Amino acid sequence: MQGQEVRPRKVEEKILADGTKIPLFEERAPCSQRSPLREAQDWLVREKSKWAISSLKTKPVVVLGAGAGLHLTELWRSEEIGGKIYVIELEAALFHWNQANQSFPQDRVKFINQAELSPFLTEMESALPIVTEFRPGWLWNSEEYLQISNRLLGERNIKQILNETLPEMSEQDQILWRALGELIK
Amino acid sequence: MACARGADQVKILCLSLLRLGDIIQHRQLVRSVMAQHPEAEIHLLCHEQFAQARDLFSESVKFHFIPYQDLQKILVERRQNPKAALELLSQCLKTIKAEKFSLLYDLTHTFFSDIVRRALGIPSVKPQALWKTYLEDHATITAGSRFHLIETLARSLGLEIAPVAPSLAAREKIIVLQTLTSDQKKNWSLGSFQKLVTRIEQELPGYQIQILSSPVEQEQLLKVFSKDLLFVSTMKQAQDLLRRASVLVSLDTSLLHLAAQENCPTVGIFLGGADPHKTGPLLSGAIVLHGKSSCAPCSHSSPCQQPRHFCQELISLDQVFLALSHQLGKDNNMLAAERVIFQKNAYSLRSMKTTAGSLDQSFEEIIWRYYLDGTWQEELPRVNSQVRQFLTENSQASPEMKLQLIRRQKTLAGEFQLCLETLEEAMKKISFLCVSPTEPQTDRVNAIRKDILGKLFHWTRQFSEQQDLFHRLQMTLENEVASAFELYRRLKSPFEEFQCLTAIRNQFADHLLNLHSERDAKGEMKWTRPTPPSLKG
Repeated sequence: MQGQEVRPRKVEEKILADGTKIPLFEERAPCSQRSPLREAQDWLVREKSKWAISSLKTKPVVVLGAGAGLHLTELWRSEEIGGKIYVIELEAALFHWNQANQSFPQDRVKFINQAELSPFLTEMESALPIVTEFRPGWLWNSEEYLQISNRLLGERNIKQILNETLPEMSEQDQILWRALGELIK
Repeated sequence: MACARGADQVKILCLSLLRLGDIIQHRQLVRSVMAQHPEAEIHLLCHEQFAQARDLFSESVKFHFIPYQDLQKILVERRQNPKAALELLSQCLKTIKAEKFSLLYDLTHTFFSDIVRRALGIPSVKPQALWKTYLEDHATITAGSRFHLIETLARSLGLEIAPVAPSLAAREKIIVLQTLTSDQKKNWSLGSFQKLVTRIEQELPGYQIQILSSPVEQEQLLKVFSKDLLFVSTMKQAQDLLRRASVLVSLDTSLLHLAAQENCPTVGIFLGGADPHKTGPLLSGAIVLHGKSSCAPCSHSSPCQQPRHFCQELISLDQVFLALSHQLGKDNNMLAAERVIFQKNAYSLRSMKTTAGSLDQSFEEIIWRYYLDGTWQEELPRVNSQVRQFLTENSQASPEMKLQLIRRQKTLAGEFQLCLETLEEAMKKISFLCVSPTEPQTDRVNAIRKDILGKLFHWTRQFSEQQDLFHRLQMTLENEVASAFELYRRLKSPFEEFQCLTAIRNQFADHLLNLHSERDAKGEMKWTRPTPPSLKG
């Protein structure tokens, strides 16, 4: 975490014209300051179109960035999602602000902070979750979020897997990876 | 084809891993599998996005699905580890394996289906070698094919496809139009369809027009057509409508194949990458209007490269209306079109009027089918029955036309014999290099390769109607070779194919000539069996 900006410790709040309350860090917000609800809705529509339908029912969803929590509300209310939602928030102040200001059903949404991160990632690597980024909420932690994303999504894409790691695999896995390779040609 | 039989019922899995139109056409092949294995339980494996196909089969078939779109999303969108795709595919195949299938038919014949077949480890029906080679080398997406993909598949897998039994139910006075495809290049403009609607309303007043539309297409179609003309439906509802309708006018879509299955007379408009020789409706008497511009059929994957949509401009409103009227039994002067002839295991497209060109086309097909069926390898040549079949199919041709055909074919046979001799010389030269005590230079071998390739390009232009004879030879020689052995090995099979086809052409032309000289009192050609030279010799 070297060379990072010095973060303001104090979180302020801003009440928007429609009554929505959002956190502010010296004028910077982890979401849109004009229409955060619209941003959250658009984000969900865009992201959902990229998720495998069969995974939605069974796999956990890991959200990178809690933002002002509006996108999380849209997400857990979405009927298609059957798995648990985990929200990684690396900024302690924002983590606490969300805990204090948002209320999510505990059996559906769980927040993960910096201290819980390591064991959580180990557990998630084998669960093959859906990983979704809420970039407006990243503020000072882009690099770290990208590292987490890479760890959960795997360093290699399908083409790299086919070119670099195939010989080390079992014969059956080789056949299956080749079949998957054909699907993206 | 014998199946392993145990205490449990024999189960057969058919792979149909292409698009909806293909699944609908594969129904013919599935019926044939059922006829060959009457006691077996038949299952079909398709891509999940075409699950609606399940509703279109009246046969007792159990469907399984591969979550193709989900797998693609995981791999392309990268919102999950690629291992999730491996896990998903693995689970899907595990469920299929648990069914304990005895036999597998690959109706798809793609790299993907081949890998799925291997992953499942189910004993599969081995395709007949010559038809399989034809399917791989001629019937691919870009190469031209003389035969329908379903016929090629059926013959390679030892299946029999046959016309659907005609429906006896009276058809209602409904004209159905399918006006859009998923590929812009394959579309006839909506403006043209609008004019067609006006003409039908003016000249065929007793008929109801129904324009098929999916819910997604509705908004686009409402800009051109009134709401009461639209039939917004599922595929199943469209199938029910086609069972009752008098005719369907359609672009190259799955609905055209669905209509063919329901024995509904059709007019198919083939534009862009649509090739009616490969994917026309499997329905006798179906009319095909093909926009044969010099660039057609083009590649499916790329947009139209021309300044104007030339193939579309070749299809006039008059042509479509005349074809439609012909199918309704109201006009018998429909000449500028082709019609489908679909008999047992044989699909052909012919001009409405017999011409020298259509006779030649018919003759080429009979030569190729005879070669690809491979019967000449196993038994005495059955030239007799093949030539008889040719004459029956072309009974409308006048004796003069037949005589001209014989002359043309004899001349062609002589010319191909000369090509063959040139190729034989080249093969000898390459064999000599193979046994040469000093390793010949790669440059020299490639110079021979280029020399043959140059001749092949010339012959392809000279014999444009028979250019598929040279297709495999050309493909073989396109890339550089490292040695004379490699060149010989690559050339051997396509050379033998050319040799065999030339011999068959000679034999067939001789037989026809013999028939001609044996005319009976009525001036009709009469068959007397000549002594054919053995092809094997």
